[in-house]
Amino acid sequence: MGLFAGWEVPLFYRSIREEYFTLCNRGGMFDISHLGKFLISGKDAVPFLEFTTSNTWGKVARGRGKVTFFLNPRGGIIDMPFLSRDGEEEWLLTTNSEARERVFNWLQTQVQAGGFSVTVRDLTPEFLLLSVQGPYTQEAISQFFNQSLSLLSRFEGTWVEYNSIKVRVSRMAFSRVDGLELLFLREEGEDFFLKLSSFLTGQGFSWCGFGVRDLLRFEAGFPLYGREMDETVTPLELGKEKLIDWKKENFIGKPPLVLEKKLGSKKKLIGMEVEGKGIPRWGYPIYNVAGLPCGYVTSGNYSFTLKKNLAMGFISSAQDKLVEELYILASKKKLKARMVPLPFLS
Amino acid sequence: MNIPDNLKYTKDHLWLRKEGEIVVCGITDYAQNELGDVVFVELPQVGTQIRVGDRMGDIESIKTVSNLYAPVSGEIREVNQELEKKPELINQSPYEEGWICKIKPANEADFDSLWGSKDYQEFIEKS
Repeated sequence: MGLFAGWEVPLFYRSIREEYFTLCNRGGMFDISHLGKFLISGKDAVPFLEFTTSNTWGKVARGRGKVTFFLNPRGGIIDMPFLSRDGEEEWLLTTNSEARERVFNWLQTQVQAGGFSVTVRDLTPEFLLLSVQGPYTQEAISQFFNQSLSLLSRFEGTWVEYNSIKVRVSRMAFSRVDGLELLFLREEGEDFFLKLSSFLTGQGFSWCGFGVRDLLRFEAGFPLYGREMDETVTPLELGKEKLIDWKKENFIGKPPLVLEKKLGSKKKLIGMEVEGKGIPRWGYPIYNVAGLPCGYVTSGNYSFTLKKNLAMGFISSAQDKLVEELYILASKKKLKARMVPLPFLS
Repeated sequence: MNIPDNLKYTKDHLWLRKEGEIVVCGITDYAQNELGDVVFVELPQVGTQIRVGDRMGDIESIKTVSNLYAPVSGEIREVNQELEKKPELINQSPYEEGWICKIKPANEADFDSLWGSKDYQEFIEKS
């Protein structure tokens, strides 16, 4: 077990390797109820979201959603949440678990400061959230609900019923593996939870710990808050310009980003592959071939699929021509690495 | 937690078994469980002279890197080459197929003074 933002979460149930291959070949389940879950509603919801996030929402249809950024006035990332339209004036927000309180307070401040007619409600304690991933997910979940869910497009959600319990099913795939997320009320959900768990286990799915979840997001080059992201990192440094709508007149954090786009970013996120043994770990310094420090590792892992030691990290933009050969200083040895494109696996 | 009675143990979570004049060593079931999925093992060189407490290799899991310290003084006679290809043997079979190295002890008494299973059990219950 590991402790994460005050929640005790399993790193693995049996072994990361075993759970990883079960998930990739068949399917796996994660209990992600620790993520922050919010309802943003009110007649000003759209203008409020336009002002507080980096992309646009007016034309988003009910059930659709996307990944976005909450930024501070310096363009630094407060969180990279997922936002989905659940009604004309209702939006469901999912944040990193560690960001829950911070985002909630920040949103409240923005509502008051801007005088928006918007209510932000923290649903986290009331709702459970399960993630089911793997190639047989759609098939198995459709069979369980006796309703085809294979038509859902990426990031689309819909409410379905199971024995009069309402469950919001959304197609969420942050890694190369397809997946669905299921949101339902904790109070009435126990029976549903147990039935679903036993059904999926019978279908060859396995409960998976966060070791697998981290490896999958890592292989997909998906940044994690606290590793690749914090309030000093901008979306441009992450290579996530596609989540910014430059045409929008204003949003919190826009002016410094406009400047950064014009002048260039100070650092950028890269993928690295290690030659030989050793997993680069968070915070390990990176040196260029001339022996000069040029960056640091944000995440490292061993990919069971690629059978390689990989890392993500930031390097100074001034040095990005010298990345053919890099050295990562591990606790007792120097790891030779080279830059590779992200994602590692797609 | 599997702690076989017929083995000797160290505070660094190694187990040792006597086979004639050689001792075989590996990491305990408790240690492999704490480390999680082992992805490589840096094995010592055959022929290396080691002294108790010397760093003789590393075990790296997805979670962390951990050093291997020599449990007795002596000479490395053999290492488990299978671990190069299948490091997961340490998780799957810590006391059999996941053995790490064979040492010819310089001094027999070193082996005899190591912990028995009860001492090791008490140690991990306290830690």
